[in-house]
Amino acid sequence: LTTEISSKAADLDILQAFEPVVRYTHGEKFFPMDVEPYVRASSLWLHVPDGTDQEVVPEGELTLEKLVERRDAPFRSLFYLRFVHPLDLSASAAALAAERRLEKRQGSEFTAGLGRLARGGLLPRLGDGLFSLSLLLRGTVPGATAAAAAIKYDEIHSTDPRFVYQGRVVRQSGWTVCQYWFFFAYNPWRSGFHGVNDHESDWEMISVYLYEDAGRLVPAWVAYASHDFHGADLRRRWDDRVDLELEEGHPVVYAGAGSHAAYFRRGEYQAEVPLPVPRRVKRIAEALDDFWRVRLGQGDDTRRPLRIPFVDFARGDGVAIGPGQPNEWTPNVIDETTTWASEYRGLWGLFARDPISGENAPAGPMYDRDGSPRPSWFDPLGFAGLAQVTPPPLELEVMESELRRLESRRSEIESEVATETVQIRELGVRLASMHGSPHLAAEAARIEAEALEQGARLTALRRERSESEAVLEGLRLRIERQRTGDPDDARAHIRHAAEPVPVSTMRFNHAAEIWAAISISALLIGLAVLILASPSNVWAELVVLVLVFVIGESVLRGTFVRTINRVGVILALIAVVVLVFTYFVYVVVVFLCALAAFLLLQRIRELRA
Amino acid sequence: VRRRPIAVTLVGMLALATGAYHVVDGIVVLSNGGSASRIAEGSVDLALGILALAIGRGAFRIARWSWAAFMTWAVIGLTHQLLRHFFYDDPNYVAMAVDAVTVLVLTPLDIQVAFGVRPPPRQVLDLDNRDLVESS
Repeated sequence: LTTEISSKAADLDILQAFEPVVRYTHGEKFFPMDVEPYVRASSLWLHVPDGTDQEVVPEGELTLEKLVERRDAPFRSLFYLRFVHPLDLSASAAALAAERRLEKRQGSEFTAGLGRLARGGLLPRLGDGLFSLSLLLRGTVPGATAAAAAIKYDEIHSTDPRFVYQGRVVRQSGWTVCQYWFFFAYNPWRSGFHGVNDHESDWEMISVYLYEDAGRLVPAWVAYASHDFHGADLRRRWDDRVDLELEEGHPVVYAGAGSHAAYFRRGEYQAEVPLPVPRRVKRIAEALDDFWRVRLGQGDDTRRPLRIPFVDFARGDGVAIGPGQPNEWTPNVIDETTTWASEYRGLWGLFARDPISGENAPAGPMYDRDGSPRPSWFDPLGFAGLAQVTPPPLELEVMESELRRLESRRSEIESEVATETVQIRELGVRLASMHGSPHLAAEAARIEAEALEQGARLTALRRERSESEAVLEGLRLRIERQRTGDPDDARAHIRHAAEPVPVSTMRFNHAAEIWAAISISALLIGLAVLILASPSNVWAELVVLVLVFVIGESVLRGTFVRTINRVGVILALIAVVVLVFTYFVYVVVVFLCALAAFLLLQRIRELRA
Repeated sequence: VRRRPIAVTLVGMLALATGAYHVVDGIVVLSNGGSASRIAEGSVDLALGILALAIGRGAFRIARWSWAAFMTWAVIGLTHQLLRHFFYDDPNYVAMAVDAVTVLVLTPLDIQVAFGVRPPPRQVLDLDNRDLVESS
């Protein structure tokens, strides 16, 4: 399964030797493309701090050369591209209709199955409603932009049907890193796949880490950029057969529908978005969650409060691109001298003025949205938590060197312990000889303090010796295993791994789906009816209505026991507070009597004993 | 054999007592006769009494369904009493206290495990330190 290539090979050959197979989800409309036709079909804009936006280069006139021309701009201003121009009502309607025709022609309609809404309960759906409302207040990509972008991308793709990656080979600390950057014209996760956000343009990246052995480059690790994961959790070892799938020596990537996030395994992944609530509310929710899990012993519930679940569909049942697939890659080698990558620091799509950035387009491969260098570009090893990992051919040498250093340090510690022991004993003898001589009290106190200090030093040395013994033992074992060719655990570095969630099933799938879609609206309409029909009792009736909705839904979802328990505990705690306030005097009296009885019992037991 | 926690025995007895009270009350109302609404009231009382007796019996046998029925009963009772406290008059604080105790008694994980409504907590097997002779 392992491909190897000469370390003297050209960057392009190295990239092609390990290029990935990417499997997209059926319904995906945007695929990796060259940046040139995208730029040619876009206009360049400048957002200035006073809030106005100026068109710098109109669509049709922009080229890669014009994109990187030096332009002066005030501080905190931002250049951005615009792939889809503002649409009026009729243009929006036309774009949506054309997109539907395109879907039919391509056969690319997406079916969510048991959708995201039906997977979460009533509360997450309420949170989702608030999240949707927040889109009205935050800046977003305008409606129908996704449809217009899909049509525009289809036009480009029909004249330039290549699937392109921007490949980069970087050599760092004994590693050769192949970075595959994928550029998409649009990220339609929210509008097309019930996800979190939409934005013009999208950059995704995967890396393959190679080491040199006897003049050959051998793959050791791969890292896929993914939601909510960082550092070592992003990478898998080449021989990790649990997660990493290889096809003829090429790593297989399952891309999220619309989000284009990369996953090792096919499936549907749950991403969580925290609700933008004040810190105090968050702290209260966490305290209540802690009370529920720890105090009430309900510890096995792993869901976190105030988070909205979203699904990233990485089914891999759509277009496949890569070696041995119906669609091949066209590589485009880039590096720091590639001007569109290094000299254009603006956004690659619409600046939607979203303060939390989810709807703003990303910057290029070398930069973050604020124009600062992108860590995955300048520190590809640190990006995947590989900075502390030695390339395998050098590992034995590094371990032996560390072993020698630790052994030498152990000898030093032995010698220091012996010296310190002699010194502290001398202090002890001097101290003992002063006993019974009151005129030496001050000197005795000084020596006692000195002995105490020396004792602490001795303890620290002995601790260090004990710890280094354990490290030495582990190191020797590892060296032995390395020499015998016994591989260590390929997954030992993983703390949190993205796991596809099991496909949800419910008692009445279709009914659950319909209910999920209408329940929040039905609840609000019910509230409106109550306000009109029975305004004097509206609060009491609202409580009953919400309880009926929550418990009714739990029956449908098969979570009745958990739900009725939670509702019961909340009501019981309120009842306890009500009872304490109502019968405060009696509560105090009962408490005092109970305390008195307890103490009396204790004393009587003591007397009897 | 599942052991019945003492707290469950206590709330089971409470349920039996409640059931007996409702049954007797229902029978008295029905035997006195009267208007249709009185007969309906007596019938509901009788039905509730029989249900409470069944729940109490289920609690003694730590039957899975009785936990759900008991909790539902307590939730309905608490909702009723709390609404009366906050929005109407004349709440029954004794009933409120009994329902709150019922909920709090039935909530701990070990009680739910005893009833079979929750699986026992995951146990980590210490395979490295297992007794090889015993485990063989």
